[in-house]
Amino acid sequence: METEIWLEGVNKYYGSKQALKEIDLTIPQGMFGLLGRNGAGKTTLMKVIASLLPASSGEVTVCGVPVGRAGKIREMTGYLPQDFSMYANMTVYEAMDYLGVLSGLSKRERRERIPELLERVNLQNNHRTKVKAMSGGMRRRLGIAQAILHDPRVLIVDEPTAGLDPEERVRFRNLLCEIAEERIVILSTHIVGDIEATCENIAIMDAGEIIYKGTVTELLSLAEGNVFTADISRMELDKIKKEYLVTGMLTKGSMTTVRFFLKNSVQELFEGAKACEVNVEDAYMYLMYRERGDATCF
Amino acid sequence: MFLALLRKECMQYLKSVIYYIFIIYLILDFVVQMGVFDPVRQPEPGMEDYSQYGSVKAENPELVMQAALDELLAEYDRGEYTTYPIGFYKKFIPDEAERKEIRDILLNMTGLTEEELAKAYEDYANDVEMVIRDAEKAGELAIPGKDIPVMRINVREGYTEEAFYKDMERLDTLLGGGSNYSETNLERGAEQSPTYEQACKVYDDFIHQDKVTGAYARLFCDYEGITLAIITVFLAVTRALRDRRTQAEQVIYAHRISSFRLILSRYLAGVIMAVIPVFALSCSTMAQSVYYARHLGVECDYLAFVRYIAFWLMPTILVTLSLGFFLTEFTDSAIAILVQVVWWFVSLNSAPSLISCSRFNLIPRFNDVVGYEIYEEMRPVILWNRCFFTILAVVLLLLTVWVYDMKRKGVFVSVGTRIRNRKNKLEA
Repeated sequence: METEIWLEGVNKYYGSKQALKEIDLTIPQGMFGLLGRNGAGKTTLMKVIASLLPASSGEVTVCGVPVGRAGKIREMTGYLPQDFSMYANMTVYEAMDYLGVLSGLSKRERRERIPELLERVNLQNNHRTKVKAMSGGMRRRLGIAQAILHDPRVLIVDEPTAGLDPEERVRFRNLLCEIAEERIVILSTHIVGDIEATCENIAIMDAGEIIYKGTVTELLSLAEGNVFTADISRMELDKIKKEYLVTGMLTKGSMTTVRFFLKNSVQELFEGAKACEVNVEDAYMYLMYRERGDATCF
Repeated sequence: MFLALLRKECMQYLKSVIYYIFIIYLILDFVVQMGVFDPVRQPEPGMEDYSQYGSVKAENPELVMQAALDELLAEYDRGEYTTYPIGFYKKFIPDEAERKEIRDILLNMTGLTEEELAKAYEDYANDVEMVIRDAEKAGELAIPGKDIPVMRINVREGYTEEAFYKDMERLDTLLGGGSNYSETNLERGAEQSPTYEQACKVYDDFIHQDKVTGAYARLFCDYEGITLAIITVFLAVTRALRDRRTQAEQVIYAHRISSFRLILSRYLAGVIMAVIPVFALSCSTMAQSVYYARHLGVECDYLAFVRYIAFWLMPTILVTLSLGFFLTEFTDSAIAILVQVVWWFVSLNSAPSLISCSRFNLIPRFNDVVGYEIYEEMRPVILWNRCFFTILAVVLLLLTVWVYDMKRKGVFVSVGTRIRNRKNKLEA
């Protein structure tokens, strides 16, 4: 049985604005990261895959099923939207039960699976808590639980960790990794750390286009040898920022440790700068600059 | 599975503040309108007035003709005519040629010449002016119909019934139909208080045809029909907007359930939760009417209330809910409430009397306990009306399903969402 998502030549227009441009992508089983800044088109792409939006052109199949067959797609996919919520007066259990009915689960199945899932997302002691009384992190966990309630083959998670504290974020990532063992999990985020911690395969989007697809390792190798670090005085900081592409700064007293790229291959390094190990964030920023010439984020 | 969903949807209504406001309003309205049981007593000979047993058509054709002439004189003087061409009120203002034709009919009915008719109007106007002046001098208001005299010119001698109906048909056609001169309305216009024998017949129908409970069931439906035609829309709008308000829309869209089952479950839950309090309220009137029937020693119809609620009130509930759901899904706004208020207002105010039903009026009226014979005459129109609204309800429901499905697939963007997006764009 096919376990991949396949997109070919996918375009999406909102009026005259093109939100997706010639997207060609294959998403295999496991965790797949979709990285990009706000407005890149990630949510649009997720919704097209989940058959919540029709593509203007192109083909999309999910595990061999074209997305035009919305009913079948909904059976196979679980979706956690960016701003997940449920009816405020429902308790956690009631919300799960209601969504379980919408998923076509029988009473027996719901009775078995709901407590199991609530335990998995660490909400077992909150089954009587009302949705309106839940914190952001608790709601996201409820969101994940409802998304996998019907044991879907594909899980689409849109910006799940935005607004969560570090502890919640780590817990969430770990949960997603567990879930991804026998499924396709598409994680869309603008937080590089989420991708770094959980995904092997990723795609990077910008302005509706895929500007990178491959593994994290391959992404890191793009920026290999191009990231440098140096300790400079705070007085030199402005000058360095003007001349180089600074991706990180750590100030200790009167000294600042900067991480930076060269703007081009002929640019010279200054004394004290040395090459350092590349991380995903560096690689992402390097790629964005290389593909878009975009220095606004530096 | 569908039953499980239906149960959950019913529970959704139970958690809604709007639902409890709906119930409270129903109860208050019921108490005001039907709080006091009004028993129908057997008519006794020699009573001063039998009008509590309804009214009957004037048997004397001269009474019918005179009543029509009185009405025509008044409308001719005002220069405008009340008509209900398709069951809704329309004011007809004739042009010069039409006015001349109406005048000719008047002259034919009265036997007056043009000058004499004009003089009669002048004298009438003077009389009215005098009455108003005298009232003003006395520091009072002259009330039309009470203090201010009605213009009275007698039908001419030798004016036959045949000629009368011919003239009236011509007049009604000229006015576009549905005027006070249509055959139905002519008969109604010349109604009079029944005689003792006629009152006994009415009472007999109340006992043996309506079996007491049927009569009160009908009155109950008359009052509740007015209320349900407006407040039920609130149930639909709040339920349909809840997904959007709580940001649960996307999650629900992404689930497996078909749009048809989802919308149907919400709709049927609305129907059930609207009908339950209506049935509960009806128990009060039913109990009283059953008790009264037993007191009279007659066999009552225990299913009368169930039948009348199902036949009379259900179509109102169905179509009001349907319209509410459809417009809310179509616009993602509460505009259905405004639309329903307008429709309710027009329906209520276009009814020509408290006992009337036209094909397209949402609110059939029968504001009387007695009058089984009149009800029987009206029944075909009521049936047509109720079937029409039931079918309309189904059509609107199917349209709701279609709109919801299109929204779910991202193909349809509601009017309300488009407006909000445009507004956000401008603000940005």
